[in-house]
Amino acid sequence: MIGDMEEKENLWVFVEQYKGEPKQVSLELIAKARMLAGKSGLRVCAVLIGDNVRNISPVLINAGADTVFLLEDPLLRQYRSDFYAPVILDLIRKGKPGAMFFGATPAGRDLAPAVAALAGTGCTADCIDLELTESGALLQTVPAFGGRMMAVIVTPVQRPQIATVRPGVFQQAWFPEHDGRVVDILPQLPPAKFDLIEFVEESLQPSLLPSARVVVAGGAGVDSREGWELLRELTGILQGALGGSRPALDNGWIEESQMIGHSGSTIRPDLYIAVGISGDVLHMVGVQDAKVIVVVNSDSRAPIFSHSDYGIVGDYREVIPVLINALKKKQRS
Amino acid sequence: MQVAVCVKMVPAPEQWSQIAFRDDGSLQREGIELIINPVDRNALEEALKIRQALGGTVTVFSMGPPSCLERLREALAMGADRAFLLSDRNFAGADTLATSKVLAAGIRKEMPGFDLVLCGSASIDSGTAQVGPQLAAHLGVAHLTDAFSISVGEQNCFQVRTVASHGYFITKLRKPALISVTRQLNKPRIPTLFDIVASCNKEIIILSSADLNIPKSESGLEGSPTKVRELFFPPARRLARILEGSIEDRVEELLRQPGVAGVLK
Amino acid sequence: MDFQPTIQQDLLRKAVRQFAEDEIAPLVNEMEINDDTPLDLVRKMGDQGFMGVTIPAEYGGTGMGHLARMIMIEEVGRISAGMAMALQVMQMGAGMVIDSGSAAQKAKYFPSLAQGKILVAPAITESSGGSDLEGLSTRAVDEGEYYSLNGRKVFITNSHISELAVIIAKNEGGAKRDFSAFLIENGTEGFRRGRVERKIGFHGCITGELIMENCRIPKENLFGDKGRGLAVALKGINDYGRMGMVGIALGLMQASLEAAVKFARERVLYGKPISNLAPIQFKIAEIYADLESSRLLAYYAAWLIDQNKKSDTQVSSAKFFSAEAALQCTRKAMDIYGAYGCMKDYPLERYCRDAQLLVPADGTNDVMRIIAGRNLAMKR
Repeated sequence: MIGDMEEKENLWVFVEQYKGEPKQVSLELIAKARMLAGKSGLRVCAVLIGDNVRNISPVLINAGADTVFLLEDPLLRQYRSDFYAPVILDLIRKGKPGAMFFGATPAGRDLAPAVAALAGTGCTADCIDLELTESGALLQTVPAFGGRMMAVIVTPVQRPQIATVRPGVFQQAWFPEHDGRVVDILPQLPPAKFDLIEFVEESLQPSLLPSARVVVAGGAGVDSREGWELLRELTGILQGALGGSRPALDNGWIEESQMIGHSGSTIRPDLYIAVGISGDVLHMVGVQDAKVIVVVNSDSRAPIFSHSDYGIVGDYREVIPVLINALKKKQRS
Repeated sequence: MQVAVCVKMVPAPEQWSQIAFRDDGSLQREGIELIINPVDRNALEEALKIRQALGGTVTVFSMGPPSCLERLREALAMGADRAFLLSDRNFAGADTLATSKVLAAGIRKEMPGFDLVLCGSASIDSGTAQVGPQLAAHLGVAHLTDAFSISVGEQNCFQVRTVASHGYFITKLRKPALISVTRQLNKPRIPTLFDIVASCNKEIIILSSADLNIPKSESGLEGSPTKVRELFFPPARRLARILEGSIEDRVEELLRQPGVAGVLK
Repeated sequence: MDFQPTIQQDLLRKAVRQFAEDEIAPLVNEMEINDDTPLDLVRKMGDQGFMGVTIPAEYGGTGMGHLARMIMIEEVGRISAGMAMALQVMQMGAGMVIDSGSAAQKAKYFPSLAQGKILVAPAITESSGGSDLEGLSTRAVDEGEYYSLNGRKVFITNSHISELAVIIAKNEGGAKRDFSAFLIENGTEGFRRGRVERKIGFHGCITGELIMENCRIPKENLFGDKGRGLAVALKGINDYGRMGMVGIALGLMQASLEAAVKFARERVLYGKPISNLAPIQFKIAEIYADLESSRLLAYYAAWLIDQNKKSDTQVSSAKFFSAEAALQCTRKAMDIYGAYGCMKDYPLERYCRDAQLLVPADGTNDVMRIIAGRNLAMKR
């Protein structure tokens, strides 16, 4: 059935879909896999599971997939570990991929480790970079200790090398001329282990952060209502978006959708202004692609000064009002 | 209801900045205080609530070096009935797969008739969120992750709400099963003085690889499919130019910088 | 000699610290402004077993002892000196009933007392002072069927939230040191609460008057043997009252040290954090030395009490030493903060105001010196 691919340790991507649309992170991973495959001759295979999702296949091929493994069944309409994990395990045993990538979404983080355990192979969570050596070894870079450190993880022996990646870490690409094929696979479903009673949809406020040219963000150092009002005013003048780091979310100053960094949004603005953010790597991975990073922080030893372009050491309550006034003056003239 | 709770001891985050490299490249973490991984306390709290409602026992399992023993006492002080520390030189250097194998062996040996395994969704030091699903795979039971509400329904079924991308799932889960939980699930109790005194009379049992009958090749570094190839402090990507002068001067200078001025046009 | 805390002490410190940070810290501002004792919080502390730390298990406590109590008050005092004061006096009340109450009284009031469901306010001080016990003017008259009390107790901690009071009164017609102690239930005829004081610090801890006007006290409410009033009072003051003040001093110094270090690392002058400056380092070292020496003496005194050994020299020394150390430490931490230290947005000025109350409470520092000095210089 998929025997013609067994001789190569291909790169597989689990495609998560919702209401007939592939998840953005799945497309990002296909693009990354395409890049890693390069001229090696390795194929990029998308594993598409769902009910009535065939129409997603061309999108995946345009995103860079050579092959789409299509597994359809009414019972697979929504993600559930008790069906998805054994079905993927089955496929892995037949197709013997070299590596398999999952988006680090709630479903992906649930599924990837389970598949890895069943297959007896390694799984590396939340990679912020992936590299493929000539011998086919996947170098997986992950943050450790809250991002104070980075580790490169490898899975030397077992295959596939399974990795999860947060949304936004890689960029999606588009290959309109790319050719690929769809391989239908009849999934063998095991008995259900639980009953899915209901999926309750909650409409999420779309975050303004990813598309904003200017982003202003506050961290643990901004710890008063007045402080956040200042940042809000500054954001307004700059016509930007307001965000924050993990402590800002934990302290209730921002919404979940406003959190920037690992496990939050990854942003690429032209200008990023970080106020009262110490800048551990977990935060910085989310902003490292900003064109210019400006820091206002009272702690001159804050790590963020090593990851930014311009620094003002000082109390934001003194600095931001001056900045606001200067910007207002500029706008008037 | 027989509930097993898995907890991990992690370095206290306030002291992470003190973690350093030794000359041989390994991590120097002696003297760093260990704490129970915060969300694992939520798992334990939920287990205690289930015991309160239905009776039964709560047993804590943790894999780690002997220095974790004291912290395990804290789990007993919160109200767990028994605690097992799975500790052996052979277990050192384990990745999530090797860790979950050891935990599975501990649970199978000491609690073969378990109804439910609870664990925190992720640890704060590595944050992989993988041990829960992998432990379930080794135990051969169903799993749900990121639960923010658990209620026990009729016929020993759990009604569980779990986080999903566009909302949440409500699932009916039959026992035995594993659920990983979030911080939102509950508020972990603070041990009372009575609990603290009582905990000092409870026993913590250490189980070695021999007790668990796990060969060296299947645990710890050797039994881990993933290896750390390199560990490094992230390089300074950009070194900020620190602006000098009065606040007004510094702001003016900032606004003159090409990368900034260009955006503000 | 072993400086390693026991597992129990270690768990206790962690649990109380977490309780203080989770449950007390959010209320501190409100307590500062309203100067009311949050009774919900008192109930929660009772549920946690805080009031029963020295009460034996058979009376509903945990019997962990006085060293454990010291650790508790220290941890509560680190977050709120006012709440630590309220708590320490609640423990003192319950402890006095265990130490001096009759079997019938213990049976009547425990385990509720150990659980904080009822509170006892020890009431010794009068407007003439509290250390010169012989100068007390509250009088008890034996009327055969009952005692009749007249007098006015002032500066009584928890006066307006306690269900019971232990009153020390002079026996009418008795000798100079003929005092008795009485247990008065709230609602007793002729017993009422008077004014509430407004203090410099310890906000959130109520201090007020208790007034007896022909107050009829049943005979069974005599507390301790007749004529043993001074002994009852002194044991409570020594073992609980003064040691409680020491615990609060430790809490204030610990809080000052943490605040000073945090600010010194964050505050930048001339492009560098002020923690790089020697004068700032000196102050921090001095705060640390004061804190740790106070702590060692405090733990030693608490240990003596737990061992049933004579402890008044150590307790009174610890009290004046730690109170004065706390005054210095809170002041130094405030100095490090510069102008910020004088602002109500920061807790430093509160620490300073709270520290001042350590000086007079449960015997002024001068009286502490008299006790320790007399023991050391004159007694053999």
